[in-house]
Amino acid sequence: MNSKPFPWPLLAAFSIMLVLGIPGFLDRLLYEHHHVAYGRIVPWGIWVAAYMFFAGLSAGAFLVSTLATVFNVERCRPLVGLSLLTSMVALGTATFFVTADLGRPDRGYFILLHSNPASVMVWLGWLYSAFGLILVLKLALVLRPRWAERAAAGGGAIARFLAFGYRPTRAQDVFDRTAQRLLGAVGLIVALILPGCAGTLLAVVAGRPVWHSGLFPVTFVVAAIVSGASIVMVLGLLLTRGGRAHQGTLVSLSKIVGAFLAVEFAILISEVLIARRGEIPSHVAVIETMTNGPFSWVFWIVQIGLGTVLPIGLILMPRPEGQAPRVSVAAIACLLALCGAFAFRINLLIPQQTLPAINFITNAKAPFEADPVYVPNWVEWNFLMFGIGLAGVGFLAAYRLLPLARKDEPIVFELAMKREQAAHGYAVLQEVAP
Amino acid sequence: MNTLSVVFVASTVVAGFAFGLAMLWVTAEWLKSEGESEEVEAKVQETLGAPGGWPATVAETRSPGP
Repeated sequence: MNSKPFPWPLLAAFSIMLVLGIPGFLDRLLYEHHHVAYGRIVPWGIWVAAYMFFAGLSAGAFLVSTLATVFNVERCRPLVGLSLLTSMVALGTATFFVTADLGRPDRGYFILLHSNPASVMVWLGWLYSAFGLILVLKLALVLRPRWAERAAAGGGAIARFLAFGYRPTRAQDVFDRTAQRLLGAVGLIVALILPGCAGTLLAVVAGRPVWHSGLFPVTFVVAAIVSGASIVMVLGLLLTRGGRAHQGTLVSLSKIVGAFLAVEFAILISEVLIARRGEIPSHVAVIETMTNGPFSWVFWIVQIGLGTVLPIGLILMPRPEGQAPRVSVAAIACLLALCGAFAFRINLLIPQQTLPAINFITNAKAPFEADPVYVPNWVEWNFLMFGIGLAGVGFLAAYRLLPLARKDEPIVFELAMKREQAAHGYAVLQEVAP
Repeated sequence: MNTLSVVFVASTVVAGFAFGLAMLWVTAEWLKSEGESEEVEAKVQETLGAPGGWPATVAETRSPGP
């Protein structure tokens, strides 16, 4: 399948996470929300933070695929299949976590059938459904020539079915490319609106001063691109093998991560400074909880230090002329950015809820059994481990089973590109050379 | 939520969309230009030799000196 050895140790690690997380999964399944730490004061806990993280990751990974399919950045084309699969698995994982948070998951589909069109949450329900459909169609289009190859090599009934009658003709390729471009354009619109809509879901809550910001939809779009580009860069390095140009593309992706991290950081600084300047007690209290509260290390160390400043430094640090691109360093920076992206969702969600909008709830602790300090308990961590393990195993299994990458695809792609551009390259050289 | 507030909310979503689209477009253009400059650099090095060195053809035509 792929020339790089399949990452069995990674599959083993995710499998262990999956098995270790079974008790948390069973607890949620059998006892619903009885043994979790979130509740009346903090109704959205770490599972909702995980949902937001994976939903952003899904939209971001899809946006990376549109660089090739919509914006015609040909050097990103070998990453299209990988980006789409990542996006699809992340969307499934986000749905898994948000379903776990629902009181009645069996009624989850009601949001589509009995909708209030004025609700932002309903918009999200429709958009996620449309996005899922686009992802399935686009991945089917990308993979069908490869299923056809498998079918021609005696791949069996499944390969023949999934090839959907593909014939290796120029007309068919033109049709598929046009269809991919069209789906990519529609998907681009949906993938850009989705994180903005998730930000708006929080921004419309006027009783929560930190959420109630016009910048939230923009922040969520930027955060989605950071996490999507980071995961595709890391997986691209881990799973695909390419020459210098492919490595250059991965380094370029990491530079995009660095630039968008800087934008996200600037927006965060702006939000904090405006809150400080306004001196509205409820607003400042949330910022204080985030930056000086018992979990301020999640903000300062994980989100700012390890998740923002260090990756920006590693990625955008100038390198001596002639030195080879530091792909491994860039991948480490992207992994750190992913950790920061998760911490960003936690800091965005939890501190705001620990300060209740209606104070009498905390004053009347006994009848409500409410505690404003929220720390996820073992059931929540265990369930989180199960979900991440499931996502990892699902992704790697799909990567192994689907004809996602031809052998050495980036290398084959680079050679083809070089042949096509040989004449053009000579012309450019004529302009450059004295 | 009345119709007017739906319009307001939709406009914030559109702001996020417009910002994201503009950023992606700039990113794509940058990726294209960076790819081109890398190709040109590689082609120049391939033809003229190591960076900083004399092009082979120029070196051959230089006068050996007195």
